[in-house]
Amino acid sequence: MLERLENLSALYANPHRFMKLAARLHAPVWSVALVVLALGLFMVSGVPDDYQQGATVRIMFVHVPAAWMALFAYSFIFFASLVAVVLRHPLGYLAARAAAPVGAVFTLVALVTGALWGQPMWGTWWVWDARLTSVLVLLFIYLGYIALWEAIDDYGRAARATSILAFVGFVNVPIVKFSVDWWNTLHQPASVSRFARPALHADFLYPLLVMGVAFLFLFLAITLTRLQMEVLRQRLRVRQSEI
Amino acid sequence: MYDFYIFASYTFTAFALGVIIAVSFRGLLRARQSLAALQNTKNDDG
Repeated sequence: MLERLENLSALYANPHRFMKLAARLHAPVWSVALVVLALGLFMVSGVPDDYQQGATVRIMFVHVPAAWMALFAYSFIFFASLVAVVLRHPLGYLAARAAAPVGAVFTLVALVTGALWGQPMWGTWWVWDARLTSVLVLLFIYLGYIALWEAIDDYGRAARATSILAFVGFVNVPIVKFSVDWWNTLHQPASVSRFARPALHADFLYPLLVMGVAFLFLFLAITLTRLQMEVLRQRLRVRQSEI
Repeated sequence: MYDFYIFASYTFTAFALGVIIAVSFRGLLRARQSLAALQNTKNDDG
């Protein structure tokens, strides 16, 4: 298994080969992201008001996918760092670094849209309950991760230090996910789960899933753009050091 | 009644994603330009 993974990773370990692949994937990934986003927004525009929440239910279609992506992006950083450390894949660190600002933006969007949903529904912008607090901690971990990359000049030392932070910070991901089950929170439990029938009516569920796919492709498209940028910056650093 | 909250949510999301997209493409463009400039300098020196 590990050998197969190593073979697969070795195929694109050459940054030149990766850049050729990324250039080929760039336009299709962006196209899918924008088309699915347009479809999702079209579906959201036809969603009826919720019998309890009224029109504010529309905030769910940006809040929930942003929260999904906040967790997905951090998991991506964790696995990219793991690949870099275990398989010594040169693109692992760069992929983790490229994804961090994207994950931070999705986390910020989840927090701000959550506050804008909370005010009319709960009567407050913010409460220090387990879900909201753990997502805020996730944002701080993202910011710390980004700051650590910028704070250390030596690339190798920065890569090792940020990987340790990525591994330690990953502890917070299941805390965010299961906080609504482990503690009594004002935030509601998950409405969409792999293991149970969704608590959402199909009128809300399908637009939500389409927006989720749109945000996933947006994450992939932005991260791919940033990864190309990171590879070029790395090439620039190497060439400057040779002069 | 809730228009402000809905409008603010979608506007902020569009703004935040727009900023990270713009910054990413600008960074990619700058990295390409810097690398090309360095290559030109090396070629001139050579």
